[in-house]
Parts: sequence; C-alpha cells; structure tokens
Amino acid sequence: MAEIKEAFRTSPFGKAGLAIVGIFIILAIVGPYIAPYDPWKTADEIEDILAPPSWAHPLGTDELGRDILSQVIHGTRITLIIGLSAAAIAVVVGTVVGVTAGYFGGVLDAMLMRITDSFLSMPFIVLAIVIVSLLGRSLGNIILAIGLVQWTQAARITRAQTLSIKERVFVLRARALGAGPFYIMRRHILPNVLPLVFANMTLVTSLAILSEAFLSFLGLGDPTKFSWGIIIRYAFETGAVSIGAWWYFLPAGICIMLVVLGFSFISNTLDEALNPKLRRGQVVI
Amino acid sequence: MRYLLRRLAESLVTVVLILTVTFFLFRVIPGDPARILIRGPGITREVIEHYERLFGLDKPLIVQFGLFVRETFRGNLGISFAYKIPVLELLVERMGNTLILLVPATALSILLGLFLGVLAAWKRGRPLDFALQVFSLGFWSIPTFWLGMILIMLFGRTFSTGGMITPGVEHGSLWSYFADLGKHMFLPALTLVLIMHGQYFMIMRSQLAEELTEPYTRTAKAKGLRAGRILRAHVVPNAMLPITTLIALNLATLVAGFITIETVFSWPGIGKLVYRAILMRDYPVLQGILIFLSLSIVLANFLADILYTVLDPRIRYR
Amino acid sequence: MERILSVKDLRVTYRTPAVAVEAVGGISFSLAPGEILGLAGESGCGKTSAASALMRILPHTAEIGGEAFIGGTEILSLPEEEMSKIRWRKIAMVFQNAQAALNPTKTIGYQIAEPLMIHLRYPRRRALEEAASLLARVRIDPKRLTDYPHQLSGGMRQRAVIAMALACRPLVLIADEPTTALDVMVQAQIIELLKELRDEYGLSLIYISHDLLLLAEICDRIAVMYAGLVVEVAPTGGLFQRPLHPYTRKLLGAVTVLGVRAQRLETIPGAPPRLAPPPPGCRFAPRCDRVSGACREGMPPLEPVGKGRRVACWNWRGEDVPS
Ligand SMILES: Nc1ncnc2c1ncn2[C@@H]1O[C@H](COP(=O)(O)OP(=O)(O)O)[C@@H](O)[C@H]1O
Ligand code: SF4
Ligand SMILES: [Mg+2]
Repeated sequence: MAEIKEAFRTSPFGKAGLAIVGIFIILAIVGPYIAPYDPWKTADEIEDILAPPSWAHPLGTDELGRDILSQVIHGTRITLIIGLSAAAIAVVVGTVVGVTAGYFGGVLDAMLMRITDSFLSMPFIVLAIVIVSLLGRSLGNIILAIGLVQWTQAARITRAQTLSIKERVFVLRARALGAGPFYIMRRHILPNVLPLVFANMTLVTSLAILSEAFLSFLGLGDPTKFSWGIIIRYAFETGAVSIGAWWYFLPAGICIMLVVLGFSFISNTLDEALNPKLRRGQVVI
Repeated sequence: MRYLLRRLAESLVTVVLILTVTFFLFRVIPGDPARILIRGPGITREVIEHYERLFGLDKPLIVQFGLFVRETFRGNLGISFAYKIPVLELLVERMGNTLILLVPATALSILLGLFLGVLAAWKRGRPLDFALQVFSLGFWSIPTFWLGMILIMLFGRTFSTGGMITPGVEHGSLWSYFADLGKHMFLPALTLVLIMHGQYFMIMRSQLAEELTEPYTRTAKAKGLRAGRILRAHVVPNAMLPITTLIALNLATLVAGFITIETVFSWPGIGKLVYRAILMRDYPVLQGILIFLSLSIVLANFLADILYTVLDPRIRYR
Repeated sequence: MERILSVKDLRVTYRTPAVAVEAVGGISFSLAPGEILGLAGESGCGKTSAASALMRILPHTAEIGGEAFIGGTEILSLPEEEMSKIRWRKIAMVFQNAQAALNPTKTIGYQIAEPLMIHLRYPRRRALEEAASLLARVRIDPKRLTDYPHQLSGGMRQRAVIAMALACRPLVLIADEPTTALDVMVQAQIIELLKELRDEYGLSLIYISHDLLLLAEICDRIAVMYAGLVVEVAPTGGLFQRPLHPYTRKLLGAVTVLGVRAQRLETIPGAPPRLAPPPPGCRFAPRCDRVSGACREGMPPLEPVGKGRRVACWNWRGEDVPS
C-alpha cells in the first residue's frame, strides 16, 4: 500500500491518470444534468443539420440536428459503465479461475490453464462479435461479451501469485492446523492477489472501453444509447469523413483516447509499484 | 525435446477446446438453434440437405460435435450465406489481401515499437522516456478506425483510400500496379503502424527495463563497452528472447485493429468480410473466421516456443 | 614512493526524490605497484560503492565527488568517452556474484574475448585464442571456451571472471568479495590464484571483503571502512598486532592476541548509523566504548600515527577498556 501511494506521489503519469479518470467519472455522474440539450432532440430547421460548432451548439450537430456535445456528455456514463462493468466481470472470472487453478493444482490446474490458453488464442474481438451478434445488441450483452473475453490475463496473474503464496509459511501453518481450502483462499490468498487484480482491472477497463468502441463501430452497439463508439459509428455511416464534418467524430474519439490513456497510466503506475524488480533495479549504462 | 512434445500436446488440447467453445457458442446460445449455420436465405434445398447429412443435424449434439471437428479438419467450414461459396474458399481468397496489408504493417510496428522501447528503457525516468511513453501510449489509446477516419479526412486527396487498387484501371506494367497498390496501402498501413507499435513499445520497454537492471550490464560497462554496443550486443538480444513469444502471445489483440481499418478503407480482406458478415448475419463466415484466426494464432505460438528453445542457450544446453 | 592509483576525498551520494544517501563520505588512499590493499568493513559500509565509483559504473542516481589518479590521469572527471578507454585497460574489476556478472546467453569465450576486440582491436580469431590461453592460465580447460556460464561450476565461473578481468592486462584490479559465495576450498584456490597473478602480471590489487581474517591471508595493507569512511589504514601485520581504532579492535576481538587465530569475529552490538544525512561527529560514537565529549562534536580526521599507519579517532591513544 505504501509503495502504491509513493508511486502515485512520484509519478507524473500516475497523477495525470488519476486526474483524467477522476474528471470523466465526475462527468459521468453529473453529465445528464449539465448537458445543454436532450441528445435525442432533432432539429426542425435545415441549417441545424450537420451544423459546425457554434455558440448554440459548441460541438455542432449531427445529420438529424441533434447536439453532439450533449451526446458526448451522455456517452461518458454509458462508456464508463460498459468499461468498468466488463472489467469487473473479467477480473472476477479470471480471479476465480486463476486462484482455483493455482491452489488446487494437478489436473484441474492443467484443464483450467488450457481453457485460458484457448481464450487467449481466440481473437477476442471476433469472439465478442459472435456473442453480441447471437445474443442481440443490448448494453447487458455487450458488457457480458467483453467481460467473457477479457478474463484471461487476470487468470494468469492470479494463478502465478497463488502458486507462490500457497507455499509460504503462514499458509502451510494454517493448512497444518486444519484450515479448509476456502478459508485459506479467503483469508490468505485473496488479500495477496487483490492488489494485482486491481492493477489488472484498470488495464482491462481501458481494453474494454476500446472493445466497446470497436463493437459499436462494427454496428454491434446498443442502438438505444449514446456511447462514444456509437457516435463515431453514426458519423462514419453518415459520411462525415467525406463531407469534412470533423466535429461529428473528433470529440468522441478524443474522449476515448483520454480515458483509455488515463486508465493505462494508472495501470502502469500500479505495475511499477507492484513489480519489485522494476522498483529495485537501477540502470548503469 | 520432451518440452516440445509437451507443448505439442498442449497445443492440440487448445485446438480441441477452441473448437468446442466455437461449436457450443453457435449452437447452444438462444436464438435460432442448430440449423442457423446452414439455412441461409437463397441456399438451395439440395445444398441444405447435403450439409444436414454431413453435419448430422438430426443426430444428438455430441455426434454433431464429432462431425463438426472432422469436417473442420477436412477444411470444410460450411457455406457462406451471403456469397454462396464455401467459407474456406472465401477466407483463403481474402486472407491474401489482409496479409498484403498486415504483414508489412506489423513488421514496421514491431521495428518501431522495439526501437522506441529500447530508447525509453535506456533513458528510463528521464525526459525522453516520458515523451516516448506519451507518444506511444497515446496512439495505443486511440481506436484504430477513428485515426483512419482522421487520416482520410486530412490526406484522402493525396492518397487513394478505397480498396486495394483503382477499379477499372488496366495496369500496363507490374510497376504501375505496385505504385497503385502502394498509394492505396499507405494510409491504412500508416494507421496500423502508428497504433500497433504502442503495444510492442510497452512490451520492449518493460522487458528491457528488467534486463537493464541485470548485473551483467554493469559488467559490460566495466569492460569499457559503449552504451550502444552494450545494448546491441548484450541487452537487446537477451530481451528479444522472451519477446518472440510475447509477440506471438499478443497476436490476437491485433485483430480488432485490422478488422476496423479494412472497414474504414474498404480493403477487401478478412476484416471487410467480418463487417459484411455482421451486417448480413452470415454466421458460417463468422464461425469460419473465428476458427481460422484462432488456429493460426495457436500455430504461431507453438512456432514461437520452438524458436525460443532453439535460441536460448539456457534451455538448449540444459 | 611511486603510486599507481591515488584516491583523494572520494564521495558517493545516492539521490532519490525523497532522500540523499551518502554511501561514501570522502575517503583517500593510494596503491603502490604490485601491492594488495584490503578494503574491509561490514556489509553496507560503502565498499562496493567506492569501487564502482572508481570504475565509474554507478547508476545515474549516484553522484561522485573527489579525485582519483591512475598513472597521472584524473579519472573521476573524465568524459564518458575517455573513461570507456580507461576501463578494463587500466582498471578492471571482478564482481561479487560471477553468475550474475556474466551474460547468460553468451559463451565464456566471447565474453573474455570481447574487451580484446573492442580495446585492442584484435580480430575475433585472435581474441578467442587469447581467451583460451587466459582460461588455461586460471586452470580452466580451454575447451570450455564455447560453454555458457550456467554450464560451469561456481568456482570455475569465478575463475572465468578473473580471466576476463585480466584480458587487457590492467594496472589495477579490484576484486569485490570474489569468494563470498564459494566454499572454503574453492575460496583458498582463488586466493592463491590471485596472488600468483599479482606476481606474474605485476598487478596492483584492491581486495574487498567483510572478512578480516580472509584479508590477512592476501593483503599487504588493509583499510578499514565504517559507515562510508576509512577509519584506519595499516600494514596487515601491524593491524592485527595492534589495532588502533576502537572499531577495528572490536572487529578483531579475540584475534588481537599475538599469533593466535580466533575462529570467529566478535559481533558488535548496535547498527551502523543512517547515512541520510550522516550524523555529526564521529560516526562510530553510538557503538564506541571509548566515546568522549569531543567525539560527538567533530569528525576525527584520518591522521598519520606512525610508520605507514593512519587512524581516524580522537582517543586512539586511550587505554584499553575491557569489554
Ligand atoms: N543504487 C543505490 N541507491 C541507493 N542507495 C544505495 C545504492 N547502492 C547502495 N546503496 C546504499 O549505499 C550504502 C553502501 O552500499 P554498498 O556500497 O553496496 O556497501 P558494501 O559493498 O560495503 O556492502 C548502503 O547503505 C546501501 O544501502
Ligand atoms: S572518535 Fe570517539 S567515538 Fe569515534 S571511534 Fe574514536 S573514541 Fe570512538
Ligand atoms: Mg558490496
């Protein structure tokens, strides 16, 4: 814990990551109250169709005259919900698989690791595409699909950590005293893998946000919501690129980039704090 | 040798598991069950019956699975609803186009990523490292298709942006053909390199940062070697050993990028095919692509592991 | 007297964002041709830092101060480019952990030959031939040239590292705890080897160890370090017969009885001071049994106290206080 605090105190990336993510979380919470328009409200006047930025519409409008700024603000909440919930599913599944495999070892371990390897070899975006196309394009299905394809890293990390912890003295002693596997996992293993799981979750969140954008762009977003990915998809469909309507897709993409960057900065900082080799070693050349 | 046999067995198990996941995914999930994969619009009665027999659709699920595995290994991935031709034929044809774009783009990304990663790790914690991290991670954080859209908007007039070659043009010479191809390839390849290199950058930077803290680098410096030579002759080659396997391990993450970039640039490869398959609900094609790409990645990983055991003397002379 | 190496007021400070650790606090010593100087002291007292400073192979977080002359050239202020030509040709080093000091993926032969190719521009063939004869000199079968480090035993690896250090015939060789990880038999062989090599190559040697008894076997003179400073320098015989500094006396403990060899060094109660920043006055004061008022006020300078001896203590003349 002290190392983590120290890492964030001394790393400009860590601070920047926390700041970026913090700002977007606040925006996600208050967004719907501060958005200037209803993002679904279409325009009546022809000059409000695909209008460039103006005082009335700071980020312009789309092909139905809807306010882009309001769409982007509303999209913050949806995007973050998808990213964080998918990452939560992923790390929970991954931790269960990894800790089980590491703790029980043997055939169970071998089986679970082969399953992990299979998922690692399947291009996760295609897998997610298949799941969403078969289940239907709803928010829940998108979260589920992304969560179910991103758990492999957490499984590998927690397995390795479990393997090393279960040989430590306090675990051996607890076992000798007759503690059951679930007690040991809860009391001894989980507290020790949680920091790593948390670090992994920040990285998976950024991957999940990118995945959502990819799915939406390929036409598999939830059509009843605005996410950043969906906004870019609409812009692409409308031909915003060829008519030069940059305001339509630029802001949403910048938001994706910033949030993903923010989460990966946090993840990198946590990694440096938790990886003793990187922390201790010094470069002489 | 024993290690390789074990890896071979593991890879085979992985292949079977991938086929299992794919099989049950397409058949157990609610929606239109079992027959969804062969009953597309516009496919003739005879063809449907032929495939029903081949895949045993009136038999129990477990028998169907056996037949599915057998047919997959025979290269029979079903028939595309949209194109009405065998999926494998379609994939082989499109894979060539994808590779034309993806191989050079990936090779350049790896080179750029590794080069910048070396610089950053060497100057770890100093201004150059910070600048490179912002650059590489920044591009890594961008959705590929979005960068593609921006580049088209900015440079679409200078470079061609639709398809692989200008349609309807007869190319008099091979040279003019390649010039046309290059003009079409430049922007999608640039997009891929800018975005994909970040991943290799991060792998190289952290691998090298660990390697640089090994005491043998201090020995090398004590021996009077200059920094460039220490990196070239000692540190980078050592870091590259695990990186060959890490690159293979990360192949699956490239797929999202090239699928969307082919869509944005109308590049007639696998990615464009995925896009069409989603639109047309062409499930046999989606299933075929999932199997095809997954098995390619398993194979790549296996080869990378073999390479690793050959290259690392600690394993070679155990 | 002619000096091959002379070090004046050498300082090493490690800077982290939070603290600055003064690992070496200004030490001076010199080395005569063919001499073996021991550098003794507890783990963490700055021996490796001092040696690495002379090689200029410290991490970027370290700051070096003072002067060091090798054959008339001041090396601490040399530009990196010039310094890289001094390394291994004028001053070479044998590291504590040979396993870690060698690149695991390059052959022993390559690693010995490499400085020959770089510094003396030997073609590869000739450099490898030279490497083979160096290996033979440290009693390793030259066939082992194509072996990788993990294929050698611990003692062989350490001898290979010595062969590597001799490749360019350096004037000064620093051996940093070269035998610490090895068993006693192998340890003795290596020490014999180093003595032979000193005579044969006319080497001057700085031998670093925390083990005074080991140093007694090989050194002409010994410098005792405590908390980043040299507290006593004396010819080996004199030091063992009559240690002057309270720290040395404690280290030697029962050994001081003439001619009698104690099996163990006395362990000293207490711990060395924190060096960020170092306390004022004598750094040994908290653990010293002769401490007086003066000790806490000023740092005692390292002063000559007779033939070839120097000591840094206000009360070195004081009578023994039995402990
Ligand atoms: N790279 C470093 N950064 C910060 N402090 C260091 C570093 N290396 C060594 N030190 C500190 O400097 C002091 C001297 O270390 P060292 O020179 O290794 O001593 P010795 O070789 O005598 O055991 C110790 O207190 C150690 O903790
Ligand atoms: S100066 Fe004082 S405290 Fe320091 S060693 Fe001498 S007597 Fe002890
Ligand atoms: Mg040391």
